[in-house]
Amino acid sequence: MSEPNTESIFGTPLYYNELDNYEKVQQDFDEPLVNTTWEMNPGWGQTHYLSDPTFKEHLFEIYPLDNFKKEIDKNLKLFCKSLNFNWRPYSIRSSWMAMFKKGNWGHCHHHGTSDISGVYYLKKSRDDGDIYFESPCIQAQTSLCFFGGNMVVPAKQGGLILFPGWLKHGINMNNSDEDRISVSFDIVFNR
Amino acid sequence: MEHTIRNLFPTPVYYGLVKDYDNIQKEISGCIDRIDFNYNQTFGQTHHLSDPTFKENLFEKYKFKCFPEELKQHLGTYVSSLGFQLNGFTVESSWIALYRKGDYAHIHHHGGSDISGAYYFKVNKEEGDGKFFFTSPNLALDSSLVGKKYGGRMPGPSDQGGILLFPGWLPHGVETHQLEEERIVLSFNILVHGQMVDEEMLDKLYK
Repeated sequence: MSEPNTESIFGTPLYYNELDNYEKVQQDFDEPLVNTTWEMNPGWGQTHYLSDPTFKEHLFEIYPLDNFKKEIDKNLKLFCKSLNFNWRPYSIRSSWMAMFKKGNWGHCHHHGTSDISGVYYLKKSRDDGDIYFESPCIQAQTSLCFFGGNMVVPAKQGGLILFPGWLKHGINMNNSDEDRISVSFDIVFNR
Repeated sequence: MEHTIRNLFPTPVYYGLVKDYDNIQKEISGCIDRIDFNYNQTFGQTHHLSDPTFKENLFEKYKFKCFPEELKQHLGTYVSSLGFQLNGFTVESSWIALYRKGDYAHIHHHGGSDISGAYYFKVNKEEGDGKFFFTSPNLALDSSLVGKKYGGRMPGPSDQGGILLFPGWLPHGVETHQLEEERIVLSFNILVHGQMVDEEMLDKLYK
């Protein structure tokens, strides 16, 4: 750095891709969507609908979702490569679907001890609420001259986002008349 | 489609070389000759300080002129790159750190300082000079299984005549100085006045 320069260090990595095998992945969810009874989590208030408000069900164990699993595996490997993380076996610890009707939203939260969490956009239109991430650096949040606000990450139907499970995020309100449906999952690498 | 990796919420740090090098060196050299350097006893035998209590402000005590003028320009460039409109600033404290063979600085931050900085008055290019480094401000990233590449320790540049500016809250330290030649650094804490204004700049820098 000999020329005067501002360099950005210690960022948080986030992965985005639109799936190659989109049609077949969408078909994987035909059966789960028909069988799901959507419910809100009463402890959260009127936020959004979940395939299982207790988070005890695991979509990957109930349904084959073979095409989706292959896409997750492929994209996870690409993400890990960019992180210089030596590949090792992993398990998808939990998975669920979330539906946002008009006026629904998702509070800011993290995914606990998940190494990498992900969200796939099964049904998404433009104004139905984007995911946002909160700065993990509380010092920046309370700083006068360094940005520490939320960052919105726009995604399309068929898009997949992978991010560290500890990174806090929420979902902006769905202002459209279209339902927004996403699939979330938590990945844990073998210790 | 080609995948994308985004680098969210990075910490911006600034580095540049001073233009008025000779006069600045002369200005700081003049005060160094009058300083009795001591260890801060609560730190242990780490490195020597112009004032181990950190109550002095060298800018005021020695009536610095050349360095504050130069600092103003670098600070202006830095905060502009942050999308911040600078209406003024105050150097609230400043001191000189002197590293003799075996000295180092533990990892620390500068508390409520908006922007902190270092001017490298005397550094050595040889291997063994105490290197400045930053550590990640994000413990979750640092302690995660998969995020080590993005966390950990990152060396800061330190050429003689260089100014390094960074958030006061960003942890940093100096590795053990292993040379017979001393290493001398002017450090300072700045409070800024102004507000965030440039959304486009924020987009470039943080997204």
